[in-house]
Amino acid sequence: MGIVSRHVPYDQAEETAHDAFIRAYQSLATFRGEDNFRHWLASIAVRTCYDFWRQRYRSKEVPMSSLTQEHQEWLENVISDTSDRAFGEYGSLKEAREVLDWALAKLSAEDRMVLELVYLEGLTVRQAAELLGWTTANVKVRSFRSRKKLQKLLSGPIGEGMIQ
Amino acid sequence: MKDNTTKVREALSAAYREKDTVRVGELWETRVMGHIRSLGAPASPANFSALFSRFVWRAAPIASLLIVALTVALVNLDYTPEYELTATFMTDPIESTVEQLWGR
Repeated sequence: MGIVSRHVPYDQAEETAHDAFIRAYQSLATFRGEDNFRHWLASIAVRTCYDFWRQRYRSKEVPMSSLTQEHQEWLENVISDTSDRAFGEYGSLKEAREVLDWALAKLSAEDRMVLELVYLEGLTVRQAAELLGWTTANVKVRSFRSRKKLQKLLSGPIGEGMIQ
Repeated sequence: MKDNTTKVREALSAAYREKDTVRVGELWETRVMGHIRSLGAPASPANFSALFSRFVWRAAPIASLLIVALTVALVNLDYTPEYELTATFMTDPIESTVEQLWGR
């Protein structure tokens, strides 16, 4: 449930987790005893979330909000902060989540999943590849490109070159 | 001092992790289990013996019929096996030649 909650909107998490469990049940034949069951189940949950976003983007149901003055100020505050403290506390602000949702909505389903797994969760390329069922080379390339896209997206509201 | 990319990454990662985990209740579990029960038994993995009995044994009657038909055809065509030719050379190597055998 934790995996699904992180990857899909709050109001869709229950339904997506339901789908993940049904898919896991139907794929029980593919589970080999020597595999880690939690890892196997996590992989199914991540792929179900990926399919959720693919369907969403295909039907153009992803809301394309725009950044407000508060969001731009939040970004500028993060960048102009010269202290060495942890920047995690900026993430607890409402604006942080809204900026993140705005940026992720501008990416494709593939870029979104890779960015969330590698850039935001801090998984290795290999771990992300195993969860998604992709090759490591594919994840590596997508990770690089999606990070560049994110930097470009966030640089837009506060000026080119601020986030490099 | 941290660069801008690191700062933004730390802040966004924290925002991502802070997302609330949905708490599911018994009703949700009951609904999922009910759905699973309605699906019936999961598909079992395909094993070799099952595939063998399913496809190979089905072809056995046709293969048997083909063997019988080919045997009958060979007998009726008066087919001379190679070993008979070899035996002719071996028993009478001086008199028999290939030309004689083929009637030239």
